[in-house]
Amino acid sequence: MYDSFLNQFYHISHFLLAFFVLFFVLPGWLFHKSYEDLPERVVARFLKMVLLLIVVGYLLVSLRLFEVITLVAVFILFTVFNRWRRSIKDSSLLVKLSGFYDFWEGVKATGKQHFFLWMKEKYELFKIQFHHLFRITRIPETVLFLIVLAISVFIRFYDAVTHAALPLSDSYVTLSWMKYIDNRELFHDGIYPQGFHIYLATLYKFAAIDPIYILKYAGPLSGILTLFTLYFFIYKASNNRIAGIMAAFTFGVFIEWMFAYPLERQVATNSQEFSFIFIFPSLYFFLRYLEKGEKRDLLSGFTGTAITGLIHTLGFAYLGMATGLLVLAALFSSFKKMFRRVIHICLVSLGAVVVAVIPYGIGRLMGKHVHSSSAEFLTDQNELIFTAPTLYPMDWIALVSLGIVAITIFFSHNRRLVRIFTVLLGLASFLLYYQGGVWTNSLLISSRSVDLWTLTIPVLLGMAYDSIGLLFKTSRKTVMAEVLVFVSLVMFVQFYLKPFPIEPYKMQRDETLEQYLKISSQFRPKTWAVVSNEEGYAVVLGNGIHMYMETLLEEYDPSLPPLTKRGESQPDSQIPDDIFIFHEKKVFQVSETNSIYPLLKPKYERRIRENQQLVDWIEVYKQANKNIEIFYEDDNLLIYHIFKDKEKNDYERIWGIENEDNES
Amino acid sequence: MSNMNISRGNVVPFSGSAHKDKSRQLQLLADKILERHKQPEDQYEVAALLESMGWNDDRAIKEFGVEDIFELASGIWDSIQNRIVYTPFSRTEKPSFLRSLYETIRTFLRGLIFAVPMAVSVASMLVLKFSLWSYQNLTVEIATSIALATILSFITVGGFTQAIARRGFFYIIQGFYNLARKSTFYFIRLGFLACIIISVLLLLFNFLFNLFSYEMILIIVIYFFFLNSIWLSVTGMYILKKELVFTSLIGLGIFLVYILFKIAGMDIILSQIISLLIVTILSFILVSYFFTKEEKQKEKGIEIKMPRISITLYSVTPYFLYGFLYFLFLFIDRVNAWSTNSDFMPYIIWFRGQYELGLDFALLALIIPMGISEVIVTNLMNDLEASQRGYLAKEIDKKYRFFVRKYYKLLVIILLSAIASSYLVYQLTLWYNKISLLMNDQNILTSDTTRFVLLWGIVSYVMLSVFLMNAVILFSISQPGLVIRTILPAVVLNVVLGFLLSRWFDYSFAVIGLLIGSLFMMVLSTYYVRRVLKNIDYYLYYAS
Repeated sequence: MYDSFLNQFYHISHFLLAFFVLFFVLPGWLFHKSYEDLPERVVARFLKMVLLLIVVGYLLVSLRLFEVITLVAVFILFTVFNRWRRSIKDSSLLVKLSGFYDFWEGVKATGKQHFFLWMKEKYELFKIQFHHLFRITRIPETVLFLIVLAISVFIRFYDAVTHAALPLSDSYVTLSWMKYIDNRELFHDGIYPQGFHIYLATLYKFAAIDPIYILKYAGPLSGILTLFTLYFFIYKASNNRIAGIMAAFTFGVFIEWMFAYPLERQVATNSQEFSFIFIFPSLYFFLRYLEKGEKRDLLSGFTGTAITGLIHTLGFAYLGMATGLLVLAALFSSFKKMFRRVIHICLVSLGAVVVAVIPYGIGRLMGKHVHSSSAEFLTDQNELIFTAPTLYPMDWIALVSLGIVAITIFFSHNRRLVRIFTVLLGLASFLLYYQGGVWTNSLLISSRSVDLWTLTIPVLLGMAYDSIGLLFKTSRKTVMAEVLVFVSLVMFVQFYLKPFPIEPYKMQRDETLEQYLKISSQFRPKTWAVVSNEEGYAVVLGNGIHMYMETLLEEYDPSLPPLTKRGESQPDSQIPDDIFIFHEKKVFQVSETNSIYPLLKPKYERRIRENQQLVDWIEVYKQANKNIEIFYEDDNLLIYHIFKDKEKNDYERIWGIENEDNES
Repeated sequence: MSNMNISRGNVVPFSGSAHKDKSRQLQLLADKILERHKQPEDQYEVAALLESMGWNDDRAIKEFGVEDIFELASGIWDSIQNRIVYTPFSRTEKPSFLRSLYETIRTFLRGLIFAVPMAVSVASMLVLKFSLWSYQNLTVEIATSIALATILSFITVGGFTQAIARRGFFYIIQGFYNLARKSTFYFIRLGFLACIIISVLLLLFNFLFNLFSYEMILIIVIYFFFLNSIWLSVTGMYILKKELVFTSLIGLGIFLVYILFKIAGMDIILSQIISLLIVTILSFILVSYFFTKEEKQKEKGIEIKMPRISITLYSVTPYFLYGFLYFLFLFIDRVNAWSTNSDFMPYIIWFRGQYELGLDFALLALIIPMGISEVIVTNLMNDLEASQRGYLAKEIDKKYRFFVRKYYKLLVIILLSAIASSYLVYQLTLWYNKISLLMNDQNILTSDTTRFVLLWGIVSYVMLSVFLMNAVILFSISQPGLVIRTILPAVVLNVVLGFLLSRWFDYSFAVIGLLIGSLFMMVLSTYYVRRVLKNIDYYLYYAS
């Protein structure tokens, strides 16, 4: 069963392990230790790793070499090159080589002792970091953050671990694009930033679980990572952990009750939401660069911006706007001091634009055109639809927060730059959300500016919290008081409002996906075929062979051996030995209140018709052929299993040896 | 030079009998120096030796009228050099034709003997459809597991077998069987340690990253372990020249599989595992027994300690690397081919019998050239040894030319034999196919892949046989570094080219990596051997 504990534990542990190895262990080997501060180091390395994976992914997919072996080879070469360079610098290679021979001689000073020294060094480092994270004054804050995190994880992962069906209609596109990348096909349906799909395909390669699970987990994980980056941005920019927790709490938990719009995109697996992860780390490093002028921050900011450009246009545009507002705030705060740094940020941002455009160039060179529906969505304008949205409590709370931050700018010089920036970003995002659609008549701005506003609200609340704190003198007692207030707030949410998981709409029943997973685990890849509807195509792609029901009904004669095309005498050799026909007794439909229902209605009518015809087709087949059985049946779904007589035995398959009897 | 003329090669007398005396004294002093050190490096070493004998500048000036001890040393050095010209000249006696023929056949067969266990296995596969670790009707999953275990075992153990052979022969030739046993079992223990570590890592890695099903990984690890044990024990028997005993053990193993699988009706995998276990235990008991026996019979009376481990390891490192790289080179094209993602890829690697079949037949082309190579290298080494006493110092260039010419002749011989062997193998494959058609109605050469791999595999192995001959020559002159410098880039070529071609065209194109790698190794190793032979005295001196 999909939702059984063991099944979920097995798949989620492999998924998280692959994620952990790829984005936390490997970067430690591949990149230099550029930051002393642990959170900064982890985030900077994560950015570098994602950029490396996307760039290498593009390159390998273009060369048709995208596979585990090549990726591992790239990692090894990168590591060896880095370590070699370092060992030449500090002559550590010779020391290690002599240590090798000493080890075999049992020389303690270099053999065991080296190991123990290394262990001691690591332990000391761990102790420092552990104390830093969990020192006594921080325990309440840490516990609070973990509670917020736990509730946020529950809200976002609940659907992923309990329902096999994929969230939203977009998931099927994401799934098939991820599989195209896995199959080394770039821009299969047209030019579109493929960074996210390369990230998914890489995770899939290392987790080695069915792509369905990757898709189910990656979406909620993006939401959690965005929560982390919001916490990171506010905490590091304001040097106030509780303000960071406030931002995380707002994004992860609080917003659910206070907002009018469904948050289902936060659990769906989309490139837009993935691109949001990189916005605030990029802004943080640019902010740091403006404050300190260190090159490493400029480089990290560039890395994050380039990644966002390689993932999603809207995220990139938002980051562009935010970066513009940041440099504007910098010039406001100190024109003379900031001018050169602002120029540098503008230049690297321009560099990121160039990087983001490169895939488009590759696509054009390959003779591809921009993905049509995305291009249409990007440019579509319609005067009749757009009106200003109604403001809800959360909007008002955000606006009040914005006002608090704005007022405190005049009272305190502390962290002025970040507060000016927050106010500018808040104003711009709110205007975009409230009037953007009306002013531009753009379908994109009208429908997606809410997502950007959702992302800005936690920043406003976090910074407002910090700004209020500036008016009071910080002591251990005030921190404890803050924590207590927060705990009460969390308790209120937990026990009074009661967090409910985000459950997005689905396009298929859970059972359909569960049966697909059962088939794919029982049969070797490409040795089985599924006959079903459009969603089945993305699900089966790359693992089995998919056939539309319409094709089966129109092209194959049920009165002949399986499966023979009408007008032919021999079975179709392109069809594998095992065929599974998914007959929907009751065709699954999204709710009629769903905005996409009118678009899907004709499709559903056709499916009802086809399923009725299928009953007759099966009847004729049963009369003419014996090799058919029921693979699965419930009230809504019936899966027939048709199996062909095996033409070749395993021995012939393995060795490619032709049996002359078979030939005759 | 002051008042005494000591020119290169001669001590020039001033005048009269006093000078003759001094000349004689100088010769006597040179004799004393040579008593202390037969081959001093240069005049500076002579000076050092003089000083150790109590000579100093004053004494040198006083007794020979030279400027200092270095001038005296220079004179003695020239005198010693002059003596080289008069080293007794002797031609090596040529053995009789019959003796020579007998030696040649013996050497040839010794070269072939490594293939006997393989021949027994192949014969068993053809007749019984199974052998000690293979079976014709396996599922692809199990075939993949066993193939991977075999490849991994060869690559893992390759370095250890080279180290065992190098050190083992080194001690056995000197009659130190006790040391040979100790060093052999030391490397066997290290081999086992490596095997255990790799097995644990494999299990762990598979647990974390889901590479294979649990059944598959279990089979991989079990076969990997037993095959490693077998290769390690084979090497022990090889250095003791007991290859036929090992062949019998393989025969016994197959017989056991027959009893368990055919008569007792056990599962083939279980039958093979039990047989492998028995063969492994027996072979280690026998290796130990043979060593003890040889030790009792032939051990020199002196009890010598094993050298320090670090020294042993340092000296065998190049050979270890060679063993590892050689097997990596030999199998990496299979890994490239089987990991190409096409129709059926449930795992990262998937056995493709059509490719394997082509290479299996092609590999047979190596057997005869290996025998010929053994004869050629023995012959060349005998000539090199004899040449030490067969040429005047001034004829050194003539000697170099002779050996380069001789090497070219040998090169032609090995190439011709390899081509003839390839033709024979090709004909044998066609003949076997006919038999297969007649007896089982099966056409083993239907697949384009098999034919393609067979053809280019044969060509690759022809070139590889030349490399192997060159490698043995270079090893004999203690130049493993040159072999490593040849094989390392060839491995990279094989990996990179095979990988790219298999991905861009067809998985069977992985064999082109093997082909280009072999061509590279043939050319570069020939160049190195030629370079060595052109300055053979230096290399022989280095080797001594």
